[in-house]
Amino acid sequence: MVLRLTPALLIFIFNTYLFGQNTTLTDETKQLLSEGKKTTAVLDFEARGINPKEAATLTDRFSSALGKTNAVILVQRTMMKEILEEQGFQQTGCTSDECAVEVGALLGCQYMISGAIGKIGSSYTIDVKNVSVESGATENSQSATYAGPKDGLIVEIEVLAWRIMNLEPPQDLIERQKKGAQVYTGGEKPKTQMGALMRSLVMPGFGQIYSGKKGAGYTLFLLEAGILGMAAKSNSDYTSFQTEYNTQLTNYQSATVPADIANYKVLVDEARNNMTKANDQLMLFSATAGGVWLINTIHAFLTGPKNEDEASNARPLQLAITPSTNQIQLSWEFPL
Amino acid sequence: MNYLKYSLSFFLFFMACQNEIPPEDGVFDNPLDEEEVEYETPALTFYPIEINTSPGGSFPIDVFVLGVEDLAGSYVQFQYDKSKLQVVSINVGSFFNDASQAPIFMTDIDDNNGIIHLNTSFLGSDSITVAGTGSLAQIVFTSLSAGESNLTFDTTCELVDPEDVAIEIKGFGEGVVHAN
Repeated sequence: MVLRLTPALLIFIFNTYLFGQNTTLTDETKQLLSEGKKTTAVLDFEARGINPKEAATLTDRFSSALGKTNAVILVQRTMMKEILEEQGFQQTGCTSDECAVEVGALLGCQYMISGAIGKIGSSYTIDVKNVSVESGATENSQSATYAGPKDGLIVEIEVLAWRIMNLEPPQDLIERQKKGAQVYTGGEKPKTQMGALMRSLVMPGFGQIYSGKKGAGYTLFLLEAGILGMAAKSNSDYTSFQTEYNTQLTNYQSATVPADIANYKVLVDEARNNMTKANDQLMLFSATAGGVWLINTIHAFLTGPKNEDEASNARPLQLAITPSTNQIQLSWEFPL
Repeated sequence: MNYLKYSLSFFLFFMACQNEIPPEDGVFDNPLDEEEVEYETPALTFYPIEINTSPGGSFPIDVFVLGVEDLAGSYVQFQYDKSKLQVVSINVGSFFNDASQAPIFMTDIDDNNGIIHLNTSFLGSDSITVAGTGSLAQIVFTSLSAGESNLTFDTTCELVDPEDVAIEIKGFGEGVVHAN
């Protein structure tokens, strides 16, 4: 009788020999195996257009989420790395199914999950595959497309961890997926042009400060404060001259001596002229303050933060002023 | 679009920051202001020209002569509504304060007809005169009942110079008393 050993069994024996001291299964693992759960390891997801460190972090999060499904016996990623290093296997570049099977065989697990995270334009794509080590066949594959801040990928990849196991993600995870990146940015909304505009509308310069342009922000704030101060001074002058006008008019009306009457008339006219001058100044400064306020809001909007979403939604037809030539320009943008 | 509306509202708010300026015309209403009164001078008028009082209340009113030259004597007669006003007292005005001689000042109150006669003159032939604008007499009235009444000069009023030549009176102001 010829004893035929499958490669997996051979590797299991090899591993048993090599890591004999670690092959003792815990009661919990034994129970999981008896429940029919499969041993599964996760390979580092391939980074296509994103930072490899970010891809590694997302892989860790995927593994954590996979563990929470309680559907598999997960090979610890740290342990997996140690074993592969000791075997002299470079995980980097291991993206094919064949490689995954090879690694799975080395680890002695039944299933290997590999994946890739790519970026196209402003959208991210995540592709995850569950490959049987024994047969080399793809048991399940899932993919997701996401557009938004990178933080939102965390939830997306957690959702995929459930779906790759053919399980429905928990409701709270679905809710977090709906809320998107806000969940991981402490509820802080991404800065927008409208946010800058609204802040500048409330207080000049605040929109610019919000956008990170502190120099322009403080300049506009101080300029507006100065102009408003001048307007307030003009208004105060007007009030003083108005009091003077009323006093002199009363004096005029109660005067019975012609010389006094003439004198008070001059003073009344003088006070009235001063009131007119103060009022003209008030109108000038008020209009200037209003103008600066208006320009400040427009400036805040035009120079406000443009996130990727807004950029992707930008209209192809745009009307803009060119500062160098001081001319209005109509531009039409289209992808080649 | 709403943001644009808000911005424009702010701008208009600032544009609306202006105060009221009193009109140039119609402000100077002193009845003794020779430049502003509707009639020419010399003239006779009351000061104040309009009085607001309450029934039972007393108030003084002056008989003024405006823009007169070389005034040596005067006869003034004016009518009041005897059903609404009662004369309390009549005193010589301040126009003669600076004169070298106190004038002879005579009054006659005709209660039945509501007429007051005033006479001023200087004794002797020293050509004592006064000129300009001043009060000939001050009359204190008591308001008897509510309503409006007028004080109206009679055209028989006369101003004379030291030669007893009449000085033409070119205008008369009418007094109004509101008792509410």
